[in-house]
Amino acid sequence: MSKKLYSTEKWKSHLKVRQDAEMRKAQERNREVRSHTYPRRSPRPKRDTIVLPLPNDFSIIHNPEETVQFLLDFENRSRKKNIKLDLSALSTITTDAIAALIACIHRIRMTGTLVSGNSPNEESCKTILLQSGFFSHVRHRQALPSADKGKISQRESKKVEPKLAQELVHRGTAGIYGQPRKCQAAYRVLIESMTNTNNHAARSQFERETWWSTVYADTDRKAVCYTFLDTGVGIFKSVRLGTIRSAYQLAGRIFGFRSDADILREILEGKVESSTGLKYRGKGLPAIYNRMKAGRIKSLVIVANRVYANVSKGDFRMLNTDFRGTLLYWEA
Amino acid sequence: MANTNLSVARDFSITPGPRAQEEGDFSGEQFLNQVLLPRFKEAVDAQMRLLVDLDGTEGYATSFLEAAFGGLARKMGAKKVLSVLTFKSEDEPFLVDEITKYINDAER
Repeated sequence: MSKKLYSTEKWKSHLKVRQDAEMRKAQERNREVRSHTYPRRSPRPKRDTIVLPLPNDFSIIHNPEETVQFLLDFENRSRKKNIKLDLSALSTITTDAIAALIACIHRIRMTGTLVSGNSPNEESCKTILLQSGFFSHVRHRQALPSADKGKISQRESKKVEPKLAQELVHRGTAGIYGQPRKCQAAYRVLIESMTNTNNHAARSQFERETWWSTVYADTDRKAVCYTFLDTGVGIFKSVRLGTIRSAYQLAGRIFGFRSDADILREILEGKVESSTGLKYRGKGLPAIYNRMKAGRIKSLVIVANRVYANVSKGDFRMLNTDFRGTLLYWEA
Repeated sequence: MANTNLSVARDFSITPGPRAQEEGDFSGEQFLNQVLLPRFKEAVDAQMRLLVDLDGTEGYATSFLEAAFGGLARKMGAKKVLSVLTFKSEDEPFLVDEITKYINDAER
């Protein structure tokens, strides 16, 4: 029987020669690659870190001037330096301010700035931070208990999300009553807010903005606290409201001064026609106001650009500092 | 006149959404086109009243109600809509007045 070709000595020596040749070629290729110098990425310039203390009463709804000013400082300083937030001296904190803080941190981190922070000394502030869902959005060193009473949701959505509104309402009511319940008024405000964001928040009709919605079950006060925050241009600088505002400012010059706070009051009272020109549009904010008057929601606060409106207390005023976006807070 | 009925929760969704279909799921426009208008026409043809049951949902945005019931009035006429529709709303009784207002204002 004849030997197979691949088992002959001649074939084996031919293979060996070819293998050696291929190995030499590969070694040469590798030497060329190694000798090539790639441009080195310049190291990120080292930034100093500054410590920024939060206002003792960190709350947009109760302490708007100081809190809005802090948020502006936070953004401005983060352009050049890393930030360490000092929460140690906090005496009170509310979930509306937590939502605004998270939105700020989220924006700042996207620029590459490092943001860190410490924990409040005050136990009640620690509890609210833990239970609000704050730590779902920031890194933390030690294991923390889950946030049963609250949730902070972020969306960059072009859509109104009824299922998310339902989930938030159920989370809040379960925190108070032990099981999820319906709350038609809270659901309505959430859907209206999402719709307003889609219609008004973006810088142009083709952009969409990030929005944040939070729920927190305040078991001590037996209240479910909701915040809706869009980080867009704010309703007073929106494309749609711009024309109405201009008309009001013109009327204000002729008939006496009218601020944006006055315009907001008139929008809520249904005295301002929709910018679409359609009589049946623009009923969202008046409907929220009516639900508050009927006692179905409480503690309604709206902050947009320089306007602060504690609607439940009839306190409409202008702020010294511009708030970025629109914030709605209510309890049910 | 006999009654036929339509339940928003059963026949459409327990989570009604915004005004227009492009704004999100379960919109008033979608409810009008897929459920309310066909059922309204059936009721008119059968010379029946249509009872709209609003209970059982998570709630309603203004824009949903206006798009659905105001939208129906813009298509069929407010007077006709009010003569055919009746409402049940035990969860939120004020909704009946609110919807009636949207129907009356729709044509103005």
